[in-house]
Amino acid sequence: MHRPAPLIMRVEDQRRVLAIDPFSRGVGFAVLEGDDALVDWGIRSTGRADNERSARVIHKLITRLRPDVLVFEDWDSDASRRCGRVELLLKRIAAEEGARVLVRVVAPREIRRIGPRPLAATKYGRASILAERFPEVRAYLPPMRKPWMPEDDRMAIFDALSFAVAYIRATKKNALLALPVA
Amino acid sequence: MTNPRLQNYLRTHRRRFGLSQADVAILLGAASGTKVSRYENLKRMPDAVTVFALEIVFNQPARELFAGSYDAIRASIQERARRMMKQLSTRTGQQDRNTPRKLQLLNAIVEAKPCTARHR
Repeated sequence: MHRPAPLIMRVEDQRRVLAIDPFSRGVGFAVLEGDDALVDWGIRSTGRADNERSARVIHKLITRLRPDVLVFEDWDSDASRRCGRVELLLKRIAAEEGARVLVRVVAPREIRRIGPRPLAATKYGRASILAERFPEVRAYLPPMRKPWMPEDDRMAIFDALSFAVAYIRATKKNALLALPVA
Repeated sequence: MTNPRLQNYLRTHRRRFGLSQADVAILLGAASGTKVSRYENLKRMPDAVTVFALEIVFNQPARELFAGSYDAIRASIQERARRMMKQLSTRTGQQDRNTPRKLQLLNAIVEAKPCTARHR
């Protein structure tokens, strides 16, 4: 099975980044252009946990938004807690869409670095940071989850957005490292 | 090599201001949001009046709202200008007094740099 490179070892000047976050009832997505222009975001519902439908939804998103890079969470990372179904879906997407678009995965470790600690260590903390940075998604920020509550679907938008921001941050960091040594 | 800009950024700007397609339709004087949906999904190209109206609604130049379309149109015009320049330059015996000015304009069209503005 094809596996995208987890580490970004070269300068990647990508204009449009599509990040996806599949969850139990659909797929959350966010599209960034450049460093900080949020072009599109949202949730595509699949009704139930269905990889067939999710793959179709992701394929449609790629066709419509024509991204330069497709980003999602590194399912192989130790800290990743994606379920088996999502893992299979992500593997499938990497294999099927890899020919059309550059596929990159970001490790949870990188995702936690998108903001200052300890705020960026939690999902809600990261979502708050992103809502502050991208005012257009502020209205989508769900109330803080209580232990007895299921996760709000809207969190998938913020998760996807955090993948895109983490990817851009990683490429920028490496772009600096890749400067020729005098 | 990066992908070209999206054909239009209507959806981006509309959602940035929290407007629904129906809201934009009201501002445009359209009967329903269906028309706006067709513009956003590239099923239909708006006429000049609607383009100006969208420019006013979102306070963004049309070349930014319809960035991909603008880039494609500019590329085809540049290609035509290049051909026209070639024709004018080869007709050495038939050049009139307007030819230098024409060549100046055509050169400016060909040399124009693509717009790199971001949607922020």
